[in-house]
Amino acid sequence: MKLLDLLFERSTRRVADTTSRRKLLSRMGSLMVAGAALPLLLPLDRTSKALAADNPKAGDPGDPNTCDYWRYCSIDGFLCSCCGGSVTSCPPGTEASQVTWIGTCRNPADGKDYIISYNDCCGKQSCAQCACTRNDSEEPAYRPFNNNDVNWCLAAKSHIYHCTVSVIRGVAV
Amino acid sequence: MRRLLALGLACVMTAPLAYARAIPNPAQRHAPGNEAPQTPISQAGYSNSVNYQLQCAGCHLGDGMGSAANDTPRLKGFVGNFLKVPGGREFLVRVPGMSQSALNNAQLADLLNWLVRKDGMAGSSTPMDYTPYTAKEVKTLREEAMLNLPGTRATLVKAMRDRGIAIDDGMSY
Repeated sequence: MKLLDLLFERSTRRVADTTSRRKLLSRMGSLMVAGAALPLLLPLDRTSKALAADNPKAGDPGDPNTCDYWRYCSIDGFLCSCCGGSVTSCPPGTEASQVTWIGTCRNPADGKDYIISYNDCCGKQSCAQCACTRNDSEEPAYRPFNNNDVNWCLAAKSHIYHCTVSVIRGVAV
Repeated sequence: MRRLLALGLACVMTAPLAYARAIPNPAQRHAPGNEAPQTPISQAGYSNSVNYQLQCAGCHLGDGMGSAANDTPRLKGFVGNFLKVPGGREFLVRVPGMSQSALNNAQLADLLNWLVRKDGMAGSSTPMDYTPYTAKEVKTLREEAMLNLPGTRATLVKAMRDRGIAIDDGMSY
């Protein structure tokens, strides 16, 4: 115990002898200024806000944060774009199920039918934001590979459903 | 304190009602641009690779690797082995994913021939003496249901084993 006491006393005295309090203050001050400025300097993805604006990007019309987006023509579940993910990526902490169901949706911008896969993101409780039910290319459950009422987390590590993404896999021709 | 507790209890009891919603949404509409009913796949005239994506790739995956986690066998480098054993040619048409798909007989014959091509998914597993399927043959085979899928498949896999064929379809036996 005495040895520890001695050790700590010596080391604190050495720190006090070799450093100044003002230097510490100035360093902490500059760190705080730089820390506050850093997020502003980093590049941010503002495309979702751009898409939500009145004049959407030509070729991909609509707001991906509402059910009224063309790619969601057969979605049944919660939109990952409202749950911390995006139209095509799962929110942090969830895993995309590779096994999924695939349908087609028509893009009003070019009138073409696109192949869309509705992969579920799994591993967290239901996101419960932006619940959408659309069945434009869905088929009844006796054709399960074209049905959106199935919990498509069936091939993921966790079978707990969180939200659904809509990935374009090509043009149906 | 008692008043606070009562307020808290009231909130807890009314919150689920406030969040409740009917699924499917009774006010459901079509996605923009998707108001017209879709062309059924049997009349759409898509290419084999698009038909594969829409009817098979959800579970067998885009590259045909299958998903062992939910008992979907691997097609890649294996599916042609069924043509080497008696009853296998019929099995490939009668298996539910094929016979109950939304494809017509000619499309199904085309898709099968596309799958078991030497430069296709089946690769070298297809036998040398393979004759392509015709729409007529598919029609005849498809009309007879396979009542015992696991039993039929197990018999075919056993026949393959007896011929010294390696069973690398990703399934656990």
